[in-house]
Amino acid sequence: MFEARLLQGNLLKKVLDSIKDIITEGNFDCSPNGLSLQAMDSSHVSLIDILLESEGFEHYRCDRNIPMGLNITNLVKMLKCAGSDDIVTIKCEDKPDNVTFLFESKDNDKISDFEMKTMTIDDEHLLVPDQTYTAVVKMPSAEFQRLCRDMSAIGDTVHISVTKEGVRFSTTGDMGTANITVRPNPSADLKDEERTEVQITEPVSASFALRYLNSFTKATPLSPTVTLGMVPNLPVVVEYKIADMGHVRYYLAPKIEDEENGGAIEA
Amino acid sequence: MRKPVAVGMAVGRSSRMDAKVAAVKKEVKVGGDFETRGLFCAEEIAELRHRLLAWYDVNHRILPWRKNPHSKRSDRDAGPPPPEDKSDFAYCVWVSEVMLQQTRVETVKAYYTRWMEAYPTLADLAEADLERVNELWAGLGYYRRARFLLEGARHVRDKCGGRMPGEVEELHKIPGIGMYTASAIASIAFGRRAGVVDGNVIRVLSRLRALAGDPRAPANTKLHWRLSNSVVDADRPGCFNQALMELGATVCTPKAPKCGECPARAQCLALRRQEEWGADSEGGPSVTDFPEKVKKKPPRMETIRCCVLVVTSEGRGHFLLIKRPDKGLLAGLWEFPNVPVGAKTEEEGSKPPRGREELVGLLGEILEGGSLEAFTGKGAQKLKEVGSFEHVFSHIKQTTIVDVCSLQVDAKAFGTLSEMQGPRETRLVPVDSKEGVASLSTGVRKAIRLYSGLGKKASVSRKNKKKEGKAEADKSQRRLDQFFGKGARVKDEE
Repeated sequence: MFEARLLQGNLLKKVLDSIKDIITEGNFDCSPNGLSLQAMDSSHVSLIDILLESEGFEHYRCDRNIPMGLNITNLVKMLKCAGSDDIVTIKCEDKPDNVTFLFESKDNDKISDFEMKTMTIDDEHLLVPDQTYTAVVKMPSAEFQRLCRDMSAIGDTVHISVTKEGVRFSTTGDMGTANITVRPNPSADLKDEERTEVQITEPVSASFALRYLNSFTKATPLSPTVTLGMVPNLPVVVEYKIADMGHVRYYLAPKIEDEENGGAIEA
Repeated sequence: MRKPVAVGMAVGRSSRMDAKVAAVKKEVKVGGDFETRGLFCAEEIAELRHRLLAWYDVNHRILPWRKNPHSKRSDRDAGPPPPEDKSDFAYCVWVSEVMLQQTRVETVKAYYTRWMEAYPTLADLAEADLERVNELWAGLGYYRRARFLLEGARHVRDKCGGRMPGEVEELHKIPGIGMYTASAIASIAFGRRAGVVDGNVIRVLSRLRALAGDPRAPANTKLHWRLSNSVVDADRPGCFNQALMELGATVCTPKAPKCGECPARAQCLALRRQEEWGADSEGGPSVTDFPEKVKKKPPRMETIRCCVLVVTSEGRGHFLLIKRPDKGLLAGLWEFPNVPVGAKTEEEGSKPPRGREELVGLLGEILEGGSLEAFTGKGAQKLKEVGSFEHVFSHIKQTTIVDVCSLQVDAKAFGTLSEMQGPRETRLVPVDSKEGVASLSTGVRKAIRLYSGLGKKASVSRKNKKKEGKAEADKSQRRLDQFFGKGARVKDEE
């Protein structure tokens, strides 16, 4: 059986908010190490990878691996019933038909429990290789969110290029073009989470659909910083660390201009 | 890592190179009295051939249809050697070239392998029927190509004694084979000295020679053919042509060419132009100024309403499909019954839904033919709109509104419906048959996806479809499956 008790129930709400725009259902994998989820959006362009380690829970018990297929939309609805200070406990059997969610208010004056039906989801599991990234950019998550929002007011696609000097985001739309360059600022006055840091072995650049990046920034409340990892011609990873608990990571396939035969000219 | 390529090799050429230049002078008429705009000189040609082939042998991609006996790639999976018989080899080249038109290499790989399993030789293809050929082609788009391949194979069987001809002119006579395909086959399979011109070659050549003007204008197309025919290598024409196209596909790309990696950068006039302007050349001339971008005519907008009609008999549901006419768009393919929908007329068009009446009329006709009880007014109420999707053809942007309707019939009526002939051929495909559904065109499958989404919350499914439609229209968007391998979910040992 599986049982996990989380003191900051609010965290669970935030995690769900970070994925609900991308997937409608997903398999939460309960294992002795923790609770994880991997899922792709319906067009297989982006992938979500969540890990909530067992150490981050106040109490955690899981004897064997249990896949817990849940409808995300319904789960969000149900979590709306929990107060933001509530303690959340998740429970289910080894082969669950139902998952129980227990919400206890902080002062222990209200207890609610919800039972939610599970579903069988045949999703494809992808092997995400352990990558050494050519470029790693760490920046304040709020700034990244703002930047993606600003970019998408102008265009659909953002070209990200990382050099030693900084990260340049550019986009083109009907009304014109926009470029935003973020420079590393190692100034000692700033707190760690306010700094932008760039580590590269060689310059990298690639294009991505802003629509997806924008939905990734829904994870902003989870972490003060966001980390982008890039390798030439491979998907970008966008990571939000959850303090003492794990992470929410997103992988996004790049946009690559036509590599096709270009259309034969039959003269 | 590759060794850096020296720039400006023209100085201090080896005597071996001089011999090559002399050979080029002998073999092609370089320059001349007629139009010489943009033509290469003998030295440039010799240099270009040498560099391109050397680059290609090290950098060529490994593709199921590609054969490069000179390959220097260490990781190359030798694969089967090219068929001994030139005609068989020509058939492989033909199939791959046709599939590659307007289609991405990644997509073609799987289709090519499946096709070669189904029709290993030209003789096998010539015996095939169109229905099966279309099924194999399902999802690849531009279905005319599949029909042309089949007709071409029959032509070769009936008119050419079953063997592929080796000359460009003869190949060109085969239905569906144009100048490009003919030259590609002749050079790759038969080693004939024939240049090719496709979108990639146009890009590479117009940058090398800094050719302005619309590359598709007749005079410029002619010039590109002349250029291509003059540079093609005499000893390895097939490899040279593939190298030129490969360069366009991987290095000399439309938006961000990797000039630093380009083996032909010493010969590139567009690059020289850019460099003369200076290194930090915001707003200056750029390699990407060539070829000139020509605004395409925007696609025509079209809306149709179709009905996913599920006919159930003895507990098993089937999709009812009708056959499209033998000519025109998606000729001879199966589709859901549909009617064109007029342009949106302001607010008043909301009730009843546009095109619904006509669609019910059409369904009535089809089912009447199946000697069913007339598809009466009640039937119309059964139709339920589940959403819409967009599909982009080369020249049409089609929006399809999808209605869903299910119908219980007895065994006799089911039998009639399953194979009605005449002006409206029908066919029933089991709802739960994955194979049956996979053989249908992308448009039909999109409608089926909407239908299957019914079980979920309607608003969610509609939102998803909208997303999908958009992603599909954007060819540059890659999918994660192309980068990450499939893995098994961690399961507990039982």
